[in-house]
Parts: sequence; structure tokens; C-alpha cells
Amino acid sequence: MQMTTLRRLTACNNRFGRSMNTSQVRPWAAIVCVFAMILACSIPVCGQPKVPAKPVPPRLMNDLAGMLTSSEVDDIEERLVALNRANGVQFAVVIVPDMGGYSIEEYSVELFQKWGIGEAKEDNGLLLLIAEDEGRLKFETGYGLEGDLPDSFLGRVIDENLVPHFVEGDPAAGIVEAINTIALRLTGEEMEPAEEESKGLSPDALAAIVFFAIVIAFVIAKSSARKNRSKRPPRSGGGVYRPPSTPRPFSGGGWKGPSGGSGGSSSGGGFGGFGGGKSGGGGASGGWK
Amino acid sequence: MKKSGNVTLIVVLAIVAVLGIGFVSVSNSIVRAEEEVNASWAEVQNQLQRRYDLIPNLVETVKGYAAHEEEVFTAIADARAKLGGAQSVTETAEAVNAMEGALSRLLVVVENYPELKADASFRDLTYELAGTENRIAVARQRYNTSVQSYNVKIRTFPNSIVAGMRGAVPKDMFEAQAGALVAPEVKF
Repeated sequence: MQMTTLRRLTACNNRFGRSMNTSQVRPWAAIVCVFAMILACSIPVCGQPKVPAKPVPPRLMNDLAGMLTSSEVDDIEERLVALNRANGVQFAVVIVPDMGGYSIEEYSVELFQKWGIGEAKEDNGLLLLIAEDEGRLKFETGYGLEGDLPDSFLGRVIDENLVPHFVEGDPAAGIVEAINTIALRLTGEEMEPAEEESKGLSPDALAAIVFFAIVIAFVIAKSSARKNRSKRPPRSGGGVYRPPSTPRPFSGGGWKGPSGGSGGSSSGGGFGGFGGGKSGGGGASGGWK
Repeated sequence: MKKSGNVTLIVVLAIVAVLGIGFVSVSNSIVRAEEEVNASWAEVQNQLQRRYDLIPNLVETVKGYAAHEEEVFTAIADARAKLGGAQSVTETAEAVNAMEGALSRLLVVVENYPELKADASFRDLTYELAGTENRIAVARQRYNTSVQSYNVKIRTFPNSIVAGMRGAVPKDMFEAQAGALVAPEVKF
């Protein structure tokens, strides 16, 4: 009996489904489509700027305009990572070539939201957005940092630390000074690039590592022929191991842009990724042009 | 006969169950959307309060340099009182628009006083005010987005049936006046 019920039910379903298919589904689908379009293009939603995608792998310093040299980018990235380790704040610096006609206020809140800068629970993200063509700067504070970094403080950082260096044509110096001023306020000390953990090793240390890597490679190659070709993660420990056939990654090459991740393996234990923090338009803005 | 009676009963029960589940889930989603509207309105209020608290400081600082600009101070005081007494979304929007008009006049006045513009505490206040203006703009936009999705939700079929039973009515957007669409520009 149960079987017959089931069969009848499915038969009923089928009949219903077929009749829907032929006559009713199409107008409904059209209506749904129209609604979706209205929704997608309604007044407040339509005016969202198109912001760049989140960097993969995650980075705090993102020069999408090529305004800085790669060594400046690495130096700033290390300071930002050091600050992140010191007290968890995710301070992202993003340089864009232009904002496509949007104001920096609209652009920064959208970028902040899309990237989710800061931890979701603490909203401890901070964004410094720089628009090269427009010559505009903006700090966007996550909700959790609004108390520690009031708008007036960030306004002074823009006026006193950033704008003078940008006017002089040395943006990297301005950004470093701004990071130091903010780090001083948040942690009580300035942030230096983390020497021992970074890839900015002295030539001696580098030579030693290369030497040891070669020795280890030989030992491993001799002790077990099978493991010769096995792929190991290049950063499994302190020492860097690569099969002897592949060229060493220590080319000193820096960052090549967020999409083209060729070369330049970054230092161990970099930035772990954005956590989904939120902001509400707080911060300060200024300009240098 | 008995067999088909059973079948009918099962079918009816199934339909009732599906309708019941549908009702509950639609009802819950309306509640969620409404809560989102409430939360985003609270944020608008929060930021308006922030500006409301900033204004006396700003006025005092400006008075220190430009005491005779009575007209502007009166306009700000009036708008502030109006904002304090506003109840509904529409009243608040009106008071906010009046406030923004008065503030932009104040900032025009400030242009004539270079010593005031150089004053450190005045500069801090203008940064705080500019940040607050931007927060208000963001909160307002998020509020309007949440109202819009709530209104669409309760007016579309089949949600509209459940919304009608719950007595849910469309909510007001935070409209800016045509003239006051742009928040007072705080830039020095």
C-alpha cells in the first residue's frame, strides 16, 4: 500500500511538474528575472565602486599602481606583519592607480568590506588607501579600532607624516612614518622589519644556509635514492630544502604584483589572511595634489 | 474506498506540513530582515548622536574666533534642538537635513578666519566631524539597503501573504533632501 501511495504521489508530482513546465514556468521565470534585475540595479546598490579582488596569497602591503619599488614594498610589508604579530591589528596599505570616478570615501568602505580587513570578532582592521591619479589618501578604521585611533589622530598622521613625503615624491618614507606613528600609539613602540625571520638575511647567513642546504641535500640523496624526486614543502623548517635539480628560490626577487606570483617566495610566517572585519566609514582623508 | 481515503488524508497532511514549514521559514526570514533594519537604524542613530555631541564643542571653538556670527550659531542650535526632538525616520531625516545646511554655512564662515583654521583643536574637531559625516553617510546607505530588501521581501509573493498575516508594513527610507544630498564638505 505504501508503494502505491508513493507511486501515486510521484505521478502527481510529475503531472504537476510537466504542466508547470509548459505553460506557467516561463512567465514566472521572466518575472523573477525582472525582479532580480531591479534588485541588482536598485539605487543604493548600483553605485558601488568596482574594487580590486583580495590578494592571493594574502598581503598587507598592496601596491596595485606600481608606485613603490619592490624593496620598499617588502620593507613596508614586514613592518605591517610585525605590527600584526605584536597586537593583532591588521593594517593594510593599498595603492590603486585610480578610483574610476568614485570618491575615496565610497571606495575605501567598499574595499574594506570586500577584503574583510581585521578579525571578524574584533573588527581590528585599518586600511590606508592611496589613489595615485587622484592624489587622495584615506584611513578607514575598523569598528574595533575607532577608540584607539580617533579620526583626529589619523587626520594628523595624514597631515604631518604622509602628505609632506608624498609632496616630496617619497611616498614610501611617508608610509613608513605613518606606520611607526600608529604602531607607537597602539603598542608603545615603532615597528622595524623583523630581521631574523625575514628573507633580508645578511650575505653570510645566506651563504651558510645555502651551504647547509647543499650538504643536507647530498646526505638525503645518498641515503635514499627513492626520496630524490619527492617533493617537500620548501619551508618545512628553519632550513630551506630543495631538490638539487631545481634552481634556488633565493633570487632576492621581490613582490611582482598581486596576480603574477612568479618568483619571490616570501619570508616564513608572513601575514595569515584577512579575517572578515567590518568598518563604517570612520577615519580621515586628505590629499597631496 | 478506504485506500483512497487514506491516500487523501496523507496528501492533505503533507500539504499542511509543507505549508506550515513554509509559513514558519518565511515568517522567520521576515523577522530577520526586520531585525537587520532595526540594527542599521540603530547605527544611524548612533552616528547622529555622535555628531550631535560634537557640535557644541565645534561651536564653542568657532565662537572663540568668530563670536559675532550669531546667525549661524542660532541656526545650528535650532537644528540641534529639532534633531533632539525627532521621533520618526522622516522627522529625523528632516532635522538632519536642516543640521547639514546649518553646518555647511558654519564651514563657509570659518573660511574667513585663518587663525581659526590654524587652531589645533579646531583641526581635530573638523577631522572628527568629517569622519562622523562619512560614518553617517555609510550608516544611512546601509540602512536604506536593509529597508529596501525588507520592503521587497514583504511585498513579493508568497511572502506578502505571511507579511499580511503578521501585519508587517513597509518601512521608510532615510531620504536626503534634494538640496542637502551632499553632506557638508569638511575640507581644509
